Amino acid sequence: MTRKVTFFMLFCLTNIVFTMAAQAQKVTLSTQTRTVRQVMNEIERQTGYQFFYNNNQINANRSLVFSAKKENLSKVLDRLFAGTDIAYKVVDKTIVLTIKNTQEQQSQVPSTATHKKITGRIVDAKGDPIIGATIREKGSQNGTVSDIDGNYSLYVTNANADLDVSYIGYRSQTIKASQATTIRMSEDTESLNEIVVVGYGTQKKANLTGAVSSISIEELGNRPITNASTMLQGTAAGVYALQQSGQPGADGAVINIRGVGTLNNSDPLVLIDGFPGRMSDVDASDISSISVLKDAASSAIYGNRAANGVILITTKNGEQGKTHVSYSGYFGTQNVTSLPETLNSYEYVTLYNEACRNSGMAEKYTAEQIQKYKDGTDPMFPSIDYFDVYYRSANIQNHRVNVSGGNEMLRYAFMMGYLDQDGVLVGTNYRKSDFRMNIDSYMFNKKLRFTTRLSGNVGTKWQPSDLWNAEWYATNAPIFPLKNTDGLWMSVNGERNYYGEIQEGSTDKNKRWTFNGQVEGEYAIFDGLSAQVTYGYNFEHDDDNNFHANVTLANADGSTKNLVSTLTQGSTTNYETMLTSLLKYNKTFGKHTVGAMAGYSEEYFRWKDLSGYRQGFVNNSQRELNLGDASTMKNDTNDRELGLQSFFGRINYSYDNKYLFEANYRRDGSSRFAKGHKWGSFPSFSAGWVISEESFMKSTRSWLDQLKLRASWGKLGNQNINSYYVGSEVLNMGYNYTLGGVLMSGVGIGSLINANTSWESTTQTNIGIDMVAFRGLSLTIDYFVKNTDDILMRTPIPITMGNLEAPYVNAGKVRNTGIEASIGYRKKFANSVDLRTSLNLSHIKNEIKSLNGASPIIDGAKAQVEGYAINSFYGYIQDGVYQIDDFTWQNNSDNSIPYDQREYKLKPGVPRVSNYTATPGDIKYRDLDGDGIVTPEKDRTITGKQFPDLSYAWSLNLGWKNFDFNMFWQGVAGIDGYTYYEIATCFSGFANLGNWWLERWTPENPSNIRPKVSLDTVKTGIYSTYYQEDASYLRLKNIEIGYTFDRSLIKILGGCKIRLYGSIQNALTFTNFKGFDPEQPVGETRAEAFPQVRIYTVGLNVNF
Amino acid sequence: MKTLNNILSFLLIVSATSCQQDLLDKTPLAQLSPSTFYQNENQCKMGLMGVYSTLRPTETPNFWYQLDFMSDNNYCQDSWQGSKEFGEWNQNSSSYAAIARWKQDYRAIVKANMLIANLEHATVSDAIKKQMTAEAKFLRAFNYADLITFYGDVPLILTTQTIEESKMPRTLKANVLNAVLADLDEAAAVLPVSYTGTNAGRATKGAALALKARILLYNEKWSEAAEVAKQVMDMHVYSLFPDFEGLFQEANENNSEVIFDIQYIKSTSNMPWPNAVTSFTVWPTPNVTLDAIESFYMKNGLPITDPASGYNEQDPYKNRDP
Repeated sequence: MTRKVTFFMLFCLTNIVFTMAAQAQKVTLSTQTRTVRQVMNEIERQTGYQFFYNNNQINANRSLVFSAKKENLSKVLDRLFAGTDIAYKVVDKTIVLTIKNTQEQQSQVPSTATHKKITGRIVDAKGDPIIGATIREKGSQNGTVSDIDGNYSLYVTNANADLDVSYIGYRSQTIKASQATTIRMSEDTESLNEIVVVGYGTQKKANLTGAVSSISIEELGNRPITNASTMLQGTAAGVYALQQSGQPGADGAVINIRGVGTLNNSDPLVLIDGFPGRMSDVDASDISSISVLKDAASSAIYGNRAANGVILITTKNGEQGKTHVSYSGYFGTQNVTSLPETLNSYEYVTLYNEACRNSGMAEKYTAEQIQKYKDGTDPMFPSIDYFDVYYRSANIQNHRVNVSGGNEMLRYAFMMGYLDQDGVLVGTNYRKSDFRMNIDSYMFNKKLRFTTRLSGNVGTKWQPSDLWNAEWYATNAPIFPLKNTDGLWMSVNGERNYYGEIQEGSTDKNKRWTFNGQVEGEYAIFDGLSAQVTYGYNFEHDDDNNFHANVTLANADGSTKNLVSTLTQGSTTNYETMLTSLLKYNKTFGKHTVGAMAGYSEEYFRWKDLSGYRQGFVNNSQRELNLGDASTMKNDTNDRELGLQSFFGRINYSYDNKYLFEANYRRDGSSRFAKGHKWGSFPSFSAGWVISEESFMKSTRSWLDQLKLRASWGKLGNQNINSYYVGSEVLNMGYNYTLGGVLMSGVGIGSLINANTSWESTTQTNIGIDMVAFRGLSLTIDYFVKNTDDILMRTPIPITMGNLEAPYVNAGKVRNTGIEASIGYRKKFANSVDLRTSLNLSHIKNEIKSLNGASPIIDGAKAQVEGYAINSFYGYIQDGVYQIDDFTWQNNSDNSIPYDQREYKLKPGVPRVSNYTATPGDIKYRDLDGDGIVTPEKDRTITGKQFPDLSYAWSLNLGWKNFDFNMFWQGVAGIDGYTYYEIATCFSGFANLGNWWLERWTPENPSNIRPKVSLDTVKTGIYSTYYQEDASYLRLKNIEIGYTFDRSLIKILGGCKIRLYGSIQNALTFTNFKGFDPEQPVGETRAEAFPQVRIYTVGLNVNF
Repeated sequence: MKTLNNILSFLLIVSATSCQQDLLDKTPLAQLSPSTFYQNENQCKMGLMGVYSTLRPTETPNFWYQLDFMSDNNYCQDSWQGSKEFGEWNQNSSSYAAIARWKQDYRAIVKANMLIANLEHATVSDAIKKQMTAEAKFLRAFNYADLITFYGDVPLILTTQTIEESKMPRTLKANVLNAVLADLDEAAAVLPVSYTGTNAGRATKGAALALKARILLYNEKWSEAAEVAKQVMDMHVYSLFPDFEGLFQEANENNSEVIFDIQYIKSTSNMPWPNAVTSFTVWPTPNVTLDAIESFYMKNGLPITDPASGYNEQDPYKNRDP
């Protein structure tokens, strides 16, 4: 539907009326009795032209004997409609049929003078004519159709008669005949007619019974999306997308649909035009639609990998008609969104000496040194903000060209693009070229559709060889000089200088090629029944060249340190084949609509790695293994494969568009599991009831367009675990040993297996309501319960089993419950303001129900604990800071004794800490069990969680004349973040401190929040709420303003349509999280995350 | 007719594409299967090397110098990876150092047990089976000796176990010691006195006896310890290496003073930290105490505290041994 609308808008715009081409088209028809419709179909088939007419006006069922032999199209049309009231016009490649005005007038010229002729024009919001709109006098058969220029004329019974004006895709309206000179129609955009891509097909949103979110591509505007996965951030209720980093080429979002359901990989299945892939491999602007299948019933049809939900991406294809050529491009600059304010050298050394005293150690810096740091004149006593050294502003540019078009028999789209993005971290860059090509061809009377889809990209990503370390050294204390006076890079505390090493060539170059090809045939066997076969192949190759340059570093004591050059070259080759065969049946019998589908699919995956290593290279510029020292060479390979096989079926039934029902059943097999455990069966059901269609709802129809209740239940399997052969006992190589100076190969067992492991299952129940009212307001609310059982997890085994990796067992249970809502509103105001806005909210509760006795599984600051969310923060709860009043000291707490000479003893009743002896200024922890002593065994607890209570997003799109404005806010609430070690922890490693440490506890400043500074790592290293913060944020994710040059200018520019825009991504953030960006990768508790970036862009879209 | 052909050819494609026979039948490509391994001497030796490889510590608290933290000879100032806690005798059952040693020893024991079990069915000569079994038992005893020294009673596991069987209590230290002695007796009876070439570094008769002497000594079985130590001396294989400093140099690997040591190669299979790349100078975690230096005797064989030793505080390294 939308396609037709755009098509018409297009040809209205171009204003091309008659084409002489029609004269040249030849038509041949054998003598036969046909209906007009059959003749028209045959003409469409032979010429590639398409008829366009109003069914109510044109009687296409009229039978006639008709033949033609290589006759001109116009002649054929003349003959076909001779003697009727039908007029035709050829517009571009479309034949528009209308009722002849003259005849109409004749037939309608009334005998009495009471009838009045009215004329008018029907246009769309932009003032372009609407062709073929129906204008009818209310309550009569008296009506007409607008012509090619949108004009109409009609005799009405009286001047005050009401006219019904309607046109497909536009909102119908009733208007007084006297006011009907120019009738402006607005597009019917409310979601009733929205088509949603679902499993192996499309469906009207109105008929959906499952929980499916479709993402409005146009609402996203033109924000500089370098990774398509970030498009999901805040755009669909129940979908949580968290951008991992701002690193070019690695800036994808981690996506959780309806919470994390498993302790294993919780990534949803992403299907790009039906083929499993990565969202980063499709360019955002190539996407025509994204559907997120959230409940088990909707995703069931992709079952074997769909337990975490499914993201269906459909890329653009050509449309019948004119060839479109478009260019879009932008330039931008990126900056880090947020970095902590840190100490300068003087503050740092002053606090360091204070920490020495607090820890009973001698002061490290002399007064003379401190003065030098304060003066900042001696280059060996600098004050360097290392964030400024490692982070910079960086440029980005992106260019894309799309070409699409097609005719009756062939539709095509070619897309290609180029991205060049520098990273804000020194040494980072990403360049990508990609292409995509979709071709649909139709053969044998359109019975056979043959589709080819090809796409590929090559991306080169540069980053420091030690990315983590570079991010780590960006937190360095300001006191370390970068270079000495001789120009040598200085080592930090005798270790490394990653900035200097990057400058000398210690970089990692990763080049990745992907290619995906698919062929698909669909054959209409007979009415309603069709068969479809898809075969696809995906190939990925990745070459990694990780080089450490030969660098001589100067140490602070004047000695030097030589870093030997090393090179690790690795290559991975992954490929995947997929075959899907489907048999589909769809038929409507009166009010009954029946659909059935049976299918078979198989997928095969192969992952191969190869790597080599040498050190001692001839120079720092030729990074090839064979130029290294042969005596240091090492090499390694790996190879894994996986097969998946599925049989599945689906049945749909609907009665009168009122009662909807769907059932799925599937059998899935995976090669991961041992014989006898390979197969799992997974059913699902869903139903819908369109209440608004019921007769008792008649009274609300004036405002309530649709009200539908949905319910679904389904079960899906998951086998996506980090092991390919859970049922096979293996010996690993690599347990090597040296004898007589020679390295000997050794083998050994590394892990235990459990041959009984099988599918984990996710059962989801969903209840939803869809409502559309006032033609522009839509509301969807869903409630779900998602239980994952038999989660494949490694439950600990005794170390006496040989410290082997524990086998997988089907043990864990996780539950996600949630409610999600989305509200949309769209209105075109008379003053040509076009408003679109949408809001979505979701609340999801994640809870580990069982860990099979292994709870708590503690991993640093995080833990898996039954009854709490996955990966919750775990540790002590800070209960203020020990104050002097909490202690007694010698001489009956004699106040005249200096602070550092007192022998502090805790007063009775004040809890102790088991790991160390508390003194004033240390963090006080809550003694949960009240036994007077804080111990790891009894007083650690869940302190926070990494999933928000509420995630929400609001978008606003405004159009006014040639201007467009777009704003997109996104936020989370009720989520915790963690900043530990660098910057946050007192004097950790060589790191600087956040400036909040200036408010540390001292006897003069008895803070109850910040402890005193200390060098005792036992004290400073304890995981507690001291390091945890509320990471809720609200962020203006994108703000954009655009201007489209109007038609007068377009003529000057040779018919191009040009839009200019400017945007800011991550423009504003409201948060209480201090220091780093609150949008932290899950699991990141330290400072080594690539920061998020703010991007300023200006862009240009040109449609030729 | 044409349509019919189309349908037929289409169905043919559909049926031809379905059901790849072995799609779900996959076995590891880059790993070996225990059921088809141990077919010849070379494969058995690879299994044996797997057991030897466990001698190399992988976790910081098991590195050679860490034990000194518990003594007066060294002081640890950094809490990195449990070292300080360990040095201060502040460990409990969840301490990193306590777990690290437990892991290292049982990793070796289980690998030895598996090799011993697999050798029984291996298609190699009895002589090879006997020799390799003896080496595996030596390595098993080596690790149990370590376990009872640090933990006392420990679960004694001498066969391969299932997960259910693994849930067992600790065995009395005395019983574990007996098992250690039995393994060492068997090893001493079978193992050769020495190796040559690319076998240097494997367990010898002398190694088995010397280990036996040491564990007897640790368990206060003085006379037995002395007796076994005498057996080692009477082998006349070992003697003190003349150059103390040279003892620690790569050139003098496997010298006459060495009874059994862990083997390394500089670049491809180097020693764990501290090694050539990182050193104590860079990370001054351990600090040698004066106490350690003072424990070296004078060349005349007297401790420096002896007035007759001739020790001069102003020139402390003069006439010291070494």
